[in-house]
Amino acid sequence: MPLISIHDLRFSYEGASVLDGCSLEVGEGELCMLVGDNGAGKSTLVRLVLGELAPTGGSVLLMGEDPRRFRVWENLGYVSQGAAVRLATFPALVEEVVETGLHAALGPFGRMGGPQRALVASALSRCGVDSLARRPMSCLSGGQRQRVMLARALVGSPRLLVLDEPTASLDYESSAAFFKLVSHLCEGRAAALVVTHDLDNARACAGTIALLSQGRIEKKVES
Amino acid sequence: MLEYQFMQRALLAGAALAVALPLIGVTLVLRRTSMTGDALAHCSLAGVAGGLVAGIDPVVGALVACIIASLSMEGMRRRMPRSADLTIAVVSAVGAGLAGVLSSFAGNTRSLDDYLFGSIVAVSADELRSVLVLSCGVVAFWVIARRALFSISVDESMARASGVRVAAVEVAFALVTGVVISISARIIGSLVVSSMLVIPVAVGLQVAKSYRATIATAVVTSLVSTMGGLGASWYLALRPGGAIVLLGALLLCACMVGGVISGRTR
Repeated sequence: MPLISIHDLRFSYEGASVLDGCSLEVGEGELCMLVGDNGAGKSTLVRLVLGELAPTGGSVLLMGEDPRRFRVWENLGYVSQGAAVRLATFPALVEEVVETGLHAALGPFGRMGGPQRALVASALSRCGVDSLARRPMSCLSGGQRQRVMLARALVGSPRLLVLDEPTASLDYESSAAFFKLVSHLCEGRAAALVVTHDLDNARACAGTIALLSQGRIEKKVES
Repeated sequence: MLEYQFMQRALLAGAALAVALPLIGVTLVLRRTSMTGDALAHCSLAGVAGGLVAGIDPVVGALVACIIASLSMEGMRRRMPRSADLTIAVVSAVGAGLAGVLSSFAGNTRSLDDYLFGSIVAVSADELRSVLVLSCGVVAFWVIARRALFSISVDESMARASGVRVAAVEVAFALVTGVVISISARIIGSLVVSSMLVIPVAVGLQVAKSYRATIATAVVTSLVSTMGGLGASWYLALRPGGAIVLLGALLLCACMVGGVISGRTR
């Protein structure tokens, strides 16, 4: 079963069509880069996949379920557009931010015990930022903050990562390093849908590239 | 000072509110809705005036007005997610307008004065019990919802995608905020309650690096300014509400100056 299954999806903002017959599947272990011009509807597609918006027509399934009724959030890791930038002014330590990724597993009454702290340490280590665990978010570079956000998404060992323009504020080198890390983390473990404008670095990753244009997926090719 | 029962009650009520208000305030500040307390305080005045006109207990009037205003603000914020400050300004203006119009129909406006400036040194035993219960309720709510509130403050979409029931938590938070402000306004004054929500948090943001330390610093600052303000009001014959706010502002200034001297900025 595909982790994301989109069929003939249509969506309009106040009558203006954004997605018009969009179809896409992301399977187990697949790294799919979603590219397209500004305003092509990439972030709208992500919001539909996450159940934040309701489609005007067609269907979208997240791990076989309607996203608006999806409840198994521990299977999903998500990094929103601009979250890392917002966190630059937030009073929080790196480990506190990564801990928030365990909400689905902990619930309101769960305690951050030894096993949970080990998960946080492991996620930070996989993203190469374990030495920053006790550092404030405000003291990190843009690239480091993005790696922390990735660690937050990975901390519950999800089956699917959804990353919305995770390298938007990074220079070319940092962006390349980030994509390499995502590609490495996904190998045999999780699938990922990555929205990006960075076609060069997307091409360098082993996976597929889906081009969103005119409200639909124009083509999907192996990178 | 401590041998007088009214001061004992004032100190206890002040301490309880000093713990509860920053727990609400930290989420308001981090979500960039710091003026929510001010807007709801205006609405509490409208509720008091409405209660006087309708012949019901002004405290109940303030409670109902604050809950309606808080939920309305939350509803408007969802309709206009990028204009949270506008929704606060609208509710604040409506609250002030209603308070002005309704107060002209209310005969005895003593209750309005009580809500404007508060009367913490005139807290009755029953009011003290209400404040203690309310503060315990706020602490319990915060313990249950703290992780969700932190996640929502960071990013609503990411919070939802990590299993937080964002809508339910936000409505619950709006309800708790409305109740806390309506009761607190009666005790410390509507002009003061907003300051007690945000000034201690501002101190926390100046000196702390982590979320937990920010909250701990805010609560300690709030306790120090409340106890110190009550002490100053006793020995210097000042209005307690004003003394509490000014002491908090003084602590904030001291932290900012200390930060400049040590070369640390936020």
